[in-house]
Amino acid sequence: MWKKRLIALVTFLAGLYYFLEFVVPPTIPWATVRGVVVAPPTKEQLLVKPFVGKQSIRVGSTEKITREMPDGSVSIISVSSVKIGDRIKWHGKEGKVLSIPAQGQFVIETYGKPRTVKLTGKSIIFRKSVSGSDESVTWDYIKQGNEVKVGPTTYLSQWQTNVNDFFVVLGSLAWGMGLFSLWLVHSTAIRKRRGEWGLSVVFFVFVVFGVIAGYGFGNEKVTWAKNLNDLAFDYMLVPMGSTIFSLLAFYMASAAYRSFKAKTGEAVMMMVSAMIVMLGQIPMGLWITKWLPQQAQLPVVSQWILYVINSAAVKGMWFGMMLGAIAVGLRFWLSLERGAYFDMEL
Amino acid sequence: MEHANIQIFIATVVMSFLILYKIFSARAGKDIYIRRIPGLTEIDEAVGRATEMGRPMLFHPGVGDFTQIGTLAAMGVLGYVAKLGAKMGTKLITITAIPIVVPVAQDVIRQAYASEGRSDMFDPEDVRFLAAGNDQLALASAALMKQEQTASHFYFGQYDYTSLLFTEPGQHHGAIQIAGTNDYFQIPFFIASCDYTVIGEELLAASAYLTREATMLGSLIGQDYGKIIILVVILIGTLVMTFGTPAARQLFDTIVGTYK
Repeated sequence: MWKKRLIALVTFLAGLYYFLEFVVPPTIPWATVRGVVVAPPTKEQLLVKPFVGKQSIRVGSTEKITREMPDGSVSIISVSSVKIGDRIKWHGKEGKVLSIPAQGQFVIETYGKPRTVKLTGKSIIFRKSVSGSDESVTWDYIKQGNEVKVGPTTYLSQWQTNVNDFFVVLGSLAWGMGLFSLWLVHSTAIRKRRGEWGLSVVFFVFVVFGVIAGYGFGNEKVTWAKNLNDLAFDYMLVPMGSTIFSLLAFYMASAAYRSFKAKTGEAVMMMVSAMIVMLGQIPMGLWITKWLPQQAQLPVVSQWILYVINSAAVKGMWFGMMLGAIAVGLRFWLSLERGAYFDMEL
Repeated sequence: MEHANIQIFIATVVMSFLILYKIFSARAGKDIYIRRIPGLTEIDEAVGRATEMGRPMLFHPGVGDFTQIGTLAAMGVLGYVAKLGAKMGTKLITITAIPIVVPVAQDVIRQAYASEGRSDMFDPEDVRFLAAGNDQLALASAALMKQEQTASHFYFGQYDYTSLLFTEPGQHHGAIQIAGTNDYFQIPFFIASCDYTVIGEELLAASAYLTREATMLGSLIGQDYGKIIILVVILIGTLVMTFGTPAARQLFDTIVGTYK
């Protein structure tokens, strides 16, 4: 009984950590300052122009706007070039573009007065990267003009590496189970002289060979070991892996030949769209239809099938799968899963 | 790791509440209808076929480890297949390229056999870690099919590009094959090379479908309520974004938000 309760408790605590780590922000929200750095930082403090409010501005289509890049450099751009997330200045108004409701109309997040943010041992700094994601950095990587988020840590994210390491260690222990399973299967085949037991002998020979060759991995000093390692992995394992992968092409052809039969209306529709998509991927598809208007050319129709019709179906599947994942995750987390195994354990 | 914004947090809480509410209210004993899922219904047929032919079955729980939800779902199916195999006296061979799956699969099968009073059937050798790479495992499974003359194959879980490497040799071998994955890239390959395919969330519903436990079926109902909410939001969003005023669009964007 205690075993069941222990399993349920550990499962719940592990799941609770990951759930909290996801929903709780990495920094305490009411103590976090989000803004733009206005002066080179020091170890003790950061001078930040915080985002404080929103404002809607309307800019004429022929006017120019100053855009400030994440690295602090500025450029003059036209109204149509402004994107969401850009930091802009126009006639004394400056801020970060939140939305563009209409052409020339921008809702911007405005700045407040610069304020000094004290950096302590509990502070975490997130810097907005060029791709738009937040990256955790130390104060010495911050430059003037960077968009940052600074605040005291909630500690959950900091423990994530340690928690993940626990599962890595657990997985590493399982390698022993895998090796034991291999030994069991092949030694039994040799002992009982099952069909093709000679290959099991070859298996053990190559295990020894692989262990010796592994000694040469990254070992520049012992030349024979390095050469053996290169032989085993670069000249044997990689080509064999490529050979297996190349089987996929033949299997795809045989599966398609067997399955693509135009027996029903849906099957005909599938075959026609498959032909359009396949021809649209190669130059011949454009060559065949180059005399047609652009919208009717094979590459364009192919892209439309993939990115409009197909993506709608895929997104529908994704919704279902994500909800199913939430349900399965909840059942396992709260030990509500039932079945041949889980009934006995829990 | 990404963090939830306020909209994601609310959505997670609402969906979780719906699912949990239906799980606990299903225990009241009300009959719950679930539509037929052909791929899962035919599992019994496949096990029966292997029994009639006197040949073993093959199960592959996918290429993922236990951080993937598909692998967890596959364990539920493995337990059911093992239980059915124990009832009919048919051997089940499980193969994997993920070491951590080996002890869990052994435990699942051992418990399934024990629940049918057939603990004597359990052999640790029947859960085989054949290779460390998925493409090598696919080749090994093809050799295993020929060597053991397996009659029924089950592929459930998370799959990658090697899906066809597993199923095509089985198709040529003449075995009945049932596959299920939540990776939508691999679904067409399974449809082309397997007799029955369980698509997407049907795999995640497999445990509930096969055991018919009221608790598990309740979670499916909760999921469906979640889907209805999402559909309503999509419909409202489509109408607002197509016909709405800029202010309405701004309001909808603020309420629903974008995942930042």
